[in-house]
Amino acid sequence: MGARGGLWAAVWLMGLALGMGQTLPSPGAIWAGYGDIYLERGEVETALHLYQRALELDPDLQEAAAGEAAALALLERREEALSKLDAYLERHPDSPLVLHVRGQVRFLQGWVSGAYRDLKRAYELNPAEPLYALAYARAAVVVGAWGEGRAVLSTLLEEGVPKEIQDQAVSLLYLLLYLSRSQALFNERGSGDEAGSLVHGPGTVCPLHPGRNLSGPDWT
Amino acid sequence: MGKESEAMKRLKLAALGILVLAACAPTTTAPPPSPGPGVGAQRPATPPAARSLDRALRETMAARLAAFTLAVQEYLRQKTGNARLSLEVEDAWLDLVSQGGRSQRFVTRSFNGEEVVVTAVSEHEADRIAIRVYDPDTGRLIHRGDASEAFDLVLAEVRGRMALEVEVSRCRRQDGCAVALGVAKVNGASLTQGRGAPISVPLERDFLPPDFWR
Repeated sequence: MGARGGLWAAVWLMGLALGMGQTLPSPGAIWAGYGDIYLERGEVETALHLYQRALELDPDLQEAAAGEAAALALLERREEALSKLDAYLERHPDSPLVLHVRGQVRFLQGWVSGAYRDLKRAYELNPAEPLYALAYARAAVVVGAWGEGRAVLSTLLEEGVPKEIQDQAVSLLYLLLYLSRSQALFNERGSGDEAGSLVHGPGTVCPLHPGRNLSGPDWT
Repeated sequence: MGKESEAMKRLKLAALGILVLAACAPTTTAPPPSPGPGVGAQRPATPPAARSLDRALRETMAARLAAFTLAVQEYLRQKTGNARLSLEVEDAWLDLVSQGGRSQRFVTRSFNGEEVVVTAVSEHEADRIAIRVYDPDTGRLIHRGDASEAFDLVLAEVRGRMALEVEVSRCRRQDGCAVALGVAKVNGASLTQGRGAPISVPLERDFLPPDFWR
């Protein structure tokens, strides 16, 4: 117990020296953190319970609000999820995380234009987040804003973006190419010049990411 | 596209979950963490518990683990006087363990010298549990907690992965104790003072709120 006492005395003094006067993080963050763990495990009802307790402690905690809505959507309670997201966004209209989740839920509900607006706004608020960019690009492709989609997807092929995100971005680019070329052929406007440079043959270098060869194994 | 924030980690979970639903694929569930090499070797297996963790019990235990972690965070802040100290949840499990049995868990996340707090809490105040920490590669027991309470707390500076057990020495229910185990990273403070081995954190009995076990 003597060693423990000495340890705590040292810790106490160090804490006094370093930690006084700092802002306390929200108590709800721990509850929301456990919510994330259980959501990741697929224990959605448990996660929902934890997010709701987090919101009781801190109604403005955006991670908890987003997690609660995601859990509700996964439990097929999408209207309830949208209602809660709407209420949160009335108080915090510029929360990119909550806008992003509402966009996803709106997508599930089939409200594509509403989803596109939310996802675009989330991206504008935080363009450095690859997941926002990917979701926005997906929505842009669906609503036919192909130029926007392509521009955003190109940012995801830069260094530093997680590979799983890049893989999805590449898939979306191919979908975009297919759609734009099909449209071009349908309109009898030629072979789709806008997208033609991305159609690859052996040894073609990707114009959006010159370091990668389109015929390489990463692209198959 | 810098370091992922905690909010982004949460976002990923939310978004990926929704996308899975959108694609009409089965909900993905991460496989349960498997014990590391050597963990559990030459020791008796955990006796199977007679009852399962139903939804209500899962929610109760998850909430209890969160409340316990929050209480620990407040306790550590008070003890250190460091308001910057915060606990960042990294992993958690709920399990049902018979008296005399153990719940073995392998922390899949890898650490790089960070300090972590391992928290365990049981279903009833009369239960007695202890955290055991193993070397994940050799299975060697490197820390055994004191089973004098229905909760336990271990502080460790971790490099690589962790292998953990919750040992249940006394169970109020005959058919098993529901136990929750959590791993949280300590941010904003250094508590181990560079000490390598895990240490039990002495807790004053009244650090838990009065209604904690209700």
